[in-house]
Amino acid sequence: MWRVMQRVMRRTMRGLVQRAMQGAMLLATVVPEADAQAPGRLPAALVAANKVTERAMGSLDRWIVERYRGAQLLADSLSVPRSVTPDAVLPRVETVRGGTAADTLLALHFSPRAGSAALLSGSVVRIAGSTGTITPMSATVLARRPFRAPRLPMAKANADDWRYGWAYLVILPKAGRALSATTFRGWLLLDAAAVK
Amino acid sequence: MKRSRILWSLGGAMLVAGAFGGGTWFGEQRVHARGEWADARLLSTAIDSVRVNALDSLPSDELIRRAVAGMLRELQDPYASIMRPDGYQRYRGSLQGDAQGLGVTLRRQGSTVTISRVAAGSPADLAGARTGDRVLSVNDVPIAKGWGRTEADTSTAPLDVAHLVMWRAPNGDTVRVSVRRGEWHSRAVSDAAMLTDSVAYVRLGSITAKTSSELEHAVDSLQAHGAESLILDLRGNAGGLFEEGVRAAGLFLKRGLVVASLDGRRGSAPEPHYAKKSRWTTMPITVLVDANTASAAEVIAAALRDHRRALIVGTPTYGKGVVQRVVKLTPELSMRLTTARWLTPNGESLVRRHGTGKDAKGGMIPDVLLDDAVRRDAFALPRDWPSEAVAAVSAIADSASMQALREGWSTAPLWSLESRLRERIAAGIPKSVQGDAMRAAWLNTGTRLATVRMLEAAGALDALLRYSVREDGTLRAGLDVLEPGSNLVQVIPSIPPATLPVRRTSAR
Repeated sequence: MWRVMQRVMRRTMRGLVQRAMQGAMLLATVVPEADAQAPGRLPAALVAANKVTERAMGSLDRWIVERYRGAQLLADSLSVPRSVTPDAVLPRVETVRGGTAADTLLALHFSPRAGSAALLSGSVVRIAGSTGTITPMSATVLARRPFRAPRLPMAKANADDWRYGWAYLVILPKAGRALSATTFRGWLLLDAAAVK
Repeated sequence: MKRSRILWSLGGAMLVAGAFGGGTWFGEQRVHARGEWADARLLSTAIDSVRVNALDSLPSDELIRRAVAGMLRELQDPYASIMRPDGYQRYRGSLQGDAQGLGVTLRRQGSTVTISRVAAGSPADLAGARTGDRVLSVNDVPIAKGWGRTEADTSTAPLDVAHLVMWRAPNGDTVRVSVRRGEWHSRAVSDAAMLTDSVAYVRLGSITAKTSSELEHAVDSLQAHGAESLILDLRGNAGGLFEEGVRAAGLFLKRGLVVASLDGRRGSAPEPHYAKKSRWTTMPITVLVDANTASAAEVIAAALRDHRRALIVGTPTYGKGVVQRVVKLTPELSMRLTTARWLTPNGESLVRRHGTGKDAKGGMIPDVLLDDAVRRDAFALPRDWPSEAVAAVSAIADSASMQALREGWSTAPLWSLESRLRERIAAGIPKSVQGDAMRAAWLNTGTRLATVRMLEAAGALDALLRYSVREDGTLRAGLDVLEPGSNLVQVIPSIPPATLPVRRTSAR
């Protein structure tokens, strides 16, 4: 009897510990992108590209964590971008950082559910003005990060306390452009493939 | 016999001890009073001495006023001041919500001046001025000839009566109104509207004597229109009455919860102020704040944050964690002094912010920290454009919107109106505008200006507020957290396929 009870207790404890570990992973860690590969096995050009992406990812992660106090960074699920439909949620540029050769745009969108991204890493996007003018300017998504932001201060595990979103770091080359980077604050990003 | 003797002895001893104690206390009081009297005499002698002997002296009353002002200055209390009767009346009036003037806010764009806001109940409102009216002349001085640009227009005493000639859209009627300067009650709730089917927006401009009842009325009325959650905008709100701040915050908290505590002079325990009238204890709320959110407005934000009732969005607040009291010294002179510190429900005292944006220290740090949280006007013109470009885009946008109004275009659905206006603006982009990026920015700005001008002239002020969400990143961030995803599309219209028109290269 005592042995049976011990076995049951051990199983229950193992289950609890496992669940707690999973919860802790989700709540307290920055989960690396699922498609990140070991740089040692790749050619030099890809290694360099990976380093750039890693730096961009670090910058994007810092931006989210600074912007949303208590935000949690989630693993990229590599979801397919949806086509541009009239009710699609488009990423909106919230922060801009001017550079010498290119400007960095940090954009985000929220979704009712987790996992519905508008853009893929590496995809080319078109910039559209806040009133919907799609410009010929192209930019590249260098990094993206799913995250969840609290709806309430000190949000708890309850799903209603959180909002799911995606953040993107986009590089827009200057190429003789006279407009300052700040102009693009509030502008929208569209997947170039979806724009005719 | 023996017992009575003992009792008499004891009574006598107590009497002697009492007399001795009382005498000592009285003596100390006298010494203390004599000391204070000596100090007062010193001050009086100093003032007399200055008045009689100083080379460039002043009258006694002025010397006394300056002595008091100097004393307050030495206290290092940045909020302490000395007030004359008119200053006291103004201060008291501002806390009561009394406003003076004509009641119009003007917006100058290029060579035109438009009424951008008419305060409800103000003389201008009663005289019939409307938001969107274009002012042609003031007291027979045409705007086109530069009224408001010369020093004589602005530096003299405010106009007692302003005779305004205005142009009113859409038919171009000429309207004449005479507005006499006067007083009215300025409402603390400066904007209240539905942003989506379920999200309400309320902006509190100040915390005056009737703020909590006005806020309650506004939220009640929005709830009747389907409001399920609320964005409370406290940006630019410099505060006001502490007690009203407590009452306003209490509306969203459970009855009996501590909203804030007053911590007075050393030695006394903090005095808690509780939520008394609670109304909406579960409604989701986001509160928008910026560097100018101060005092009683911070009381509201801090209480809602500490009780996990609201997420705070914006930039670090001002950090005015103290309250003042006005002491009337004479009928002619009053003194405002900082008399207590207020503490948040978690016992935190706000310290004055220094630095700006994300580098700021002190104040209240929001939960969603933005680069910049200042309210963005949908009518704003690009700051970094040359003045000719600004004038050109304003003129074309204005002409497109007025033409649309004359042709009877509907303002709903908004995306359709915007799309039609964009086509019209695109046809008018000047040849001097070079480069795709610049032309796109030009078209974007022109379409926005034409749309907001049309909404304003058509009196669609709720639609105008919803439209301004696009330009206002803070409001957008607040809405994101409350209603992410599909509902945001109700506010920000979708994008019809509108690529930048191809520039014709062959021109004759």
